[in-house]
Amino acid sequence: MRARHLTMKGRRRLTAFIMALPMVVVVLVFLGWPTIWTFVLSFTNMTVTGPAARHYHFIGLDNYRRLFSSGSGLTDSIRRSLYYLVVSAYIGQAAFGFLLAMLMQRCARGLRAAVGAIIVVAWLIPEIVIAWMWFVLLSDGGTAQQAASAAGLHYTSWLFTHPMLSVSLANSWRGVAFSYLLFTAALNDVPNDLIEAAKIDGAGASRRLFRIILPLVSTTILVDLVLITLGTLNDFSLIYAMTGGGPGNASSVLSVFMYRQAFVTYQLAFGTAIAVVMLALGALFAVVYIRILRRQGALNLAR
Amino acid sequence: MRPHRIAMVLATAVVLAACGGGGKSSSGTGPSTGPVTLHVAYWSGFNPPGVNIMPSWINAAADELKQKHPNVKVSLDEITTNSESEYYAKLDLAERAKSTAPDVAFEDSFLIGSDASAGYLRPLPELTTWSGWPDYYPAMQQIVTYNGQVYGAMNSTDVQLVFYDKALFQKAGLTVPWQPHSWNDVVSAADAIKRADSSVVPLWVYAGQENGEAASFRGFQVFLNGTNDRLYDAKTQKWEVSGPGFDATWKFLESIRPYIEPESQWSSPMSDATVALNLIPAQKVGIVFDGSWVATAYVPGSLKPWPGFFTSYGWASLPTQSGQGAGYTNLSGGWSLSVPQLAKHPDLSTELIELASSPQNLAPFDAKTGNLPPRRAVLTEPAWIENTKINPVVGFGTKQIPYTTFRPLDPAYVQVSNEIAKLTGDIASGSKNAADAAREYESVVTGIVGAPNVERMSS
Repeated sequence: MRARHLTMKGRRRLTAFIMALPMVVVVLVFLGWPTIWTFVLSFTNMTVTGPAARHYHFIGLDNYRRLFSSGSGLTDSIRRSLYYLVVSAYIGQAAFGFLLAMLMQRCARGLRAAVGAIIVVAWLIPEIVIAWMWFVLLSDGGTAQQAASAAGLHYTSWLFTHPMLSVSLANSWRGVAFSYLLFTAALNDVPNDLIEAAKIDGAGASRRLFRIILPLVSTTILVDLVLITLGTLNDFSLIYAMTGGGPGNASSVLSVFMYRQAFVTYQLAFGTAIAVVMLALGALFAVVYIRILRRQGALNLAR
Repeated sequence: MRPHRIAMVLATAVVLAACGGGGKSSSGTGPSTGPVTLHVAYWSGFNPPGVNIMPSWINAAADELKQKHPNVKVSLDEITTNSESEYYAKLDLAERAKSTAPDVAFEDSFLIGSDASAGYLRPLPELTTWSGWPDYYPAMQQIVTYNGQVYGAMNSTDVQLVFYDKALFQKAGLTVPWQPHSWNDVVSAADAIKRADSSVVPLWVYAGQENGEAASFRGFQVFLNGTNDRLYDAKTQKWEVSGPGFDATWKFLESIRPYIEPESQWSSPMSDATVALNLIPAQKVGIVFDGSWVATAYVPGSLKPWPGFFTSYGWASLPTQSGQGAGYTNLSGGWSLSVPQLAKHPDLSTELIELASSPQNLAPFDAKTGNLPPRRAVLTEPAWIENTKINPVVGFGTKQIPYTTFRPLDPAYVQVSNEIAKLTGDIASGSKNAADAAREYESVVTGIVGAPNVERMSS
């Protein structure tokens, strides 16, 4: 009966709790449970086929011991994932996207709309189609080779000679639209009179960029970095469709490494241990970004 | 009070939505009463390019089954993947749960031991008393037998052959027809071709992880089998991890490096298509170690019809290392129809398998897929005789079946094979030499199967 005498505040809290409940349940069922189960499996010897497929048992830290021993391929995979992150996300998407957004600010409106539309088209094409387009462009006997031979140049498939650069280019091409759109919106919010005032005060272009524009859009930059970092670290299909992780292991980033162990050599539990490492790496990046965002006061939703 | 109730309803709805879905299809009734649907799972990639023989083969058997059991329908559940290993993974995962397990599964024979030990497959003792059983070649009966139990009926098999380009051989001053009697014969022929024409690939041997089982099977095991060592000692049930035969095989793979370039071609995941659809028709490759089915690509009605193949190319048996033993060696694979442990109507599944495995049904299937028949009665079927006229390679291939062997059925095979594929790539690309590969093989395989399960061969 006491419930009837809930205070106003208590009642509002209860409502909030109830409103949030469906979301909490969905997150727990579809995100929490698989994550926990992955974590649990990483301490077992489960395989896709063979005696341990259904009758698996706990083997303690064996998977992790194997993973962190030399020659397991983990360090190389992490190195490739970081290369992919820096080259395709930071440089190809964020930096290039920002440059594009800046340049487009100065374009005539018609041209801006046209170029913007073209960039956004890349964002609309399904990932697997993009992978195929780039495969056709770069592979043996592909467009690049034909263009090169028409120009009298020698071309050996980049998918073979520069596999990481090839997939990074494809990912930059695909993802640059997202950063571009985000930055365009942020730059449009930079008050024009502020820039004009700085100009009158004698601030040069680089000074205006670093002292006025960048501080004003820094939150957007950080949010962009959070999103593309996590998307890029977890990316699998683009690379797998373009190179299969090869040649050899040359483009086997963490996600491809995990897939190969789990579903090509059928060591499911070992694959889940790699998944846990991926999760930890992603979480590390997320925590760092969130810290920076907090310091900037950008995450004031919670308050 | 009301919010509580809303919360309950919402939570229940969400949980129901989350847990619903699959698992409602089984009717649970016996085989002879209500309508029954048998799900047959098979791999999209088994059909040669441009040919869709799978459905008509299964449907022919399904029609015969329907005459006996009018209530039984057969549904074809094609599993679409690019690579074989993805098909195996999808099939195995489907066989784990009752709601997804097919009633009949199209299984690659080399996984039968592994899948049986996982508890995915059902032993089928009734097949051994079936009238068709004695007609199978002994190797085709053993290949589906794991721990004394039969786990399926083979529908197709293959042998491995050496194909060679007659024009390039003549250009290099080599005699045609050719039958190598040792590995040295292969290397010296490749060398002569390389010197005669630098624009062609002298020798094609599969290598590298991207080619998976093809690299392990056709790029290593067919050679190891030509030595006195074996991958697996069936008598002691131990894995052989080192020995003079292993050393010789790794050395041989190292010695052919200059002849299998360029790496961009052999290391591509599409390399089997590259050799069959580009290099061979363009007559840009001298010697090819490949499966007996390759020639199917050139018969009329296929993707790359080229009847000239059968006069431009020759084919020979695989030589042993230095002519030891019978002088030739072979290894076969092939596919079976099996019944998953969780199949709902195992009796009907077995009946369907027997019908699909009849000589009349197998003949067009094996002919169209370019495979060899696993049982003798197929050889006298009109559809098969017709096929050997169009494609003489299969006629040559069937003569090798009585002498063929097959891969170890031990469940560790899949992992061991993957390691072999990786090492063939390391040797072919030059990142490891023969001694490194031998050392890594010994330590990795010992790690996979455990020290008590390995043996070392001495000379």
